[in-house]
Amino acid sequence: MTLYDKILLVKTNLTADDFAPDTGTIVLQNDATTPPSGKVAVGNDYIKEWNHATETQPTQAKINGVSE
Amino acid sequence: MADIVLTGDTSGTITVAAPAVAGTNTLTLPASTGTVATTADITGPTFSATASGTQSIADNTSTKIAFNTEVFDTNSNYDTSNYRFTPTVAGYYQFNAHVISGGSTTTEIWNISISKNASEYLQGSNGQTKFATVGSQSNASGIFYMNGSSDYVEAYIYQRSGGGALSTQAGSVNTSNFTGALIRKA
Repeated sequence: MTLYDKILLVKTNLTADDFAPDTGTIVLQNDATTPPSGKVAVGNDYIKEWNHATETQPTQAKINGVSE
Repeated sequence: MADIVLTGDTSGTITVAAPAVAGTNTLTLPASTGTVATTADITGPTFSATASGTQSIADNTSTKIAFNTEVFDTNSNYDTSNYRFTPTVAGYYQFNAHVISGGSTTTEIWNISISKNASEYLQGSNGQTKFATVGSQSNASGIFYMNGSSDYVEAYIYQRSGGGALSTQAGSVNTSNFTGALIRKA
């Protein structure tokens, strides 16, 4: 399960539009290498930016708690 | 035969003319503040890279494209380990990136972009497809200033298909490529 899939499971109010280029407020990224230290991540996917007006960014523990 | 040396003064021009057999050909030298371009001025860094295999792209996640195979790299400025071009000559560069997805019946967004120094700089065209056997295509093209030392560029792909990961097509120059060339020195 990808980071995106797990975020949608723990943040059920979010939709794909929240992640859209330009208009979205959340940016997920994969630099084809280990994510920067301290970033919430699954594999090489990580949360680069989280600027959502009402939903807070999930913690790594919360993401890890989503069963595959 | 001794060398012929042409020397100008501080004004005027020197004209070297061919015999007027088929018209007159004139070579005009620039003013004293100008320079005559040499081969070093017109043979700046140029590269082309492609992806040797498919790459899985997660839904709604901007993912660096693994352009891991050089077609050419005239100045050894492209790094196949991190898919990054860091030119060592300052100036204005034309960059192009292109990638095709695998087929999908639900692809709404297939969007390539070129990032400079880890920030998105240029977003490309958006590809869509609703055919399992037809991939989406996206292209990005633009002119960037590069400082010749620390500036670098990379290419990313973003997809929204609503169906999980989507793959790029198996690599070759006609399905995926990332190219760049110096077009004007700083």
